[in-house]
Amino acid sequence: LQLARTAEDRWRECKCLTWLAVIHLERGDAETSLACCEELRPLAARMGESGELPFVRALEALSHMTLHHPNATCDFASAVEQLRAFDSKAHLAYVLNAAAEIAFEGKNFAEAYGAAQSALVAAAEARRVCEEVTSRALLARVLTARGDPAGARGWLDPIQDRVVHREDLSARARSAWLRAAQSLELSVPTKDQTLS
Amino acid sequence: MEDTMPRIIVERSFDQPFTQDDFDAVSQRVGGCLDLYGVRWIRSHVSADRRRMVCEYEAPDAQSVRDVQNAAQASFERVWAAEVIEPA
Repeated sequence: LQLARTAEDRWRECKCLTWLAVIHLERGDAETSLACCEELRPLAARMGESGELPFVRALEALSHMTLHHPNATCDFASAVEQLRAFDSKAHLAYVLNAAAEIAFEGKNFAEAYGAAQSALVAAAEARRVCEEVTSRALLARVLTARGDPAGARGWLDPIQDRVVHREDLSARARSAWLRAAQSLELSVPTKDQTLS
Repeated sequence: MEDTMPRIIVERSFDQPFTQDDFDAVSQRVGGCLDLYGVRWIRSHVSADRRRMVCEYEAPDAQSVRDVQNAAQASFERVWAAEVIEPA
């Protein structure tokens, strides 16, 4: 961030602040994530066609959802529409997975399932394996919570190889998958094992 | 889902006609960012007065192409996903 500011490279400044907002949100610090978004908003707005603003709006709404602010869901829906309009599928998959996670934690299973399904479509279109693994893990966790372990396995089985063999899978995706596997009381496979 | 990569169009315009050196410099910067964002440059169309350019890419989404342009500091007006229509 400091380097980008020194170089007066607004786009990279925007990117670095966005990553900070994401990191804080993933670590459960919605307040600090919101502070990053506040800094980001005018910067992203000035970048116009760069497509950064809808993602910032979605991150902001996710923080507000975590903090149970009123209107957060409406703001999130509007940001999602903007992401679709900008054809920003990778961002779309990320924020929909995040929304699914929040809904799941709040035991809003139908909402979580719908958001994870939409995230899965966007992830597949954007060829984002990490987001696809995350979506499938969330779908499996919802079905497990609803007492449908066979259905849950149906979401996990097709990605098992990818989870075991891909070295570049994000910690977030791997952890989502592990939680789903654990909720089904499956042994966690290594490269030399498969799920029993 | 269809497995072909979407086509993405970038529209650019310039106050001054751009030179071949300008084009080579931007191409080199853009080229260095393509793999990082999973984008492939297909072709570019340049107006005779060299003040306008339309570039065609293959990419998973339009945002990946915007990111390439921004990372390479290549100016643009609009980026949009296109449906390709060709003579039957």
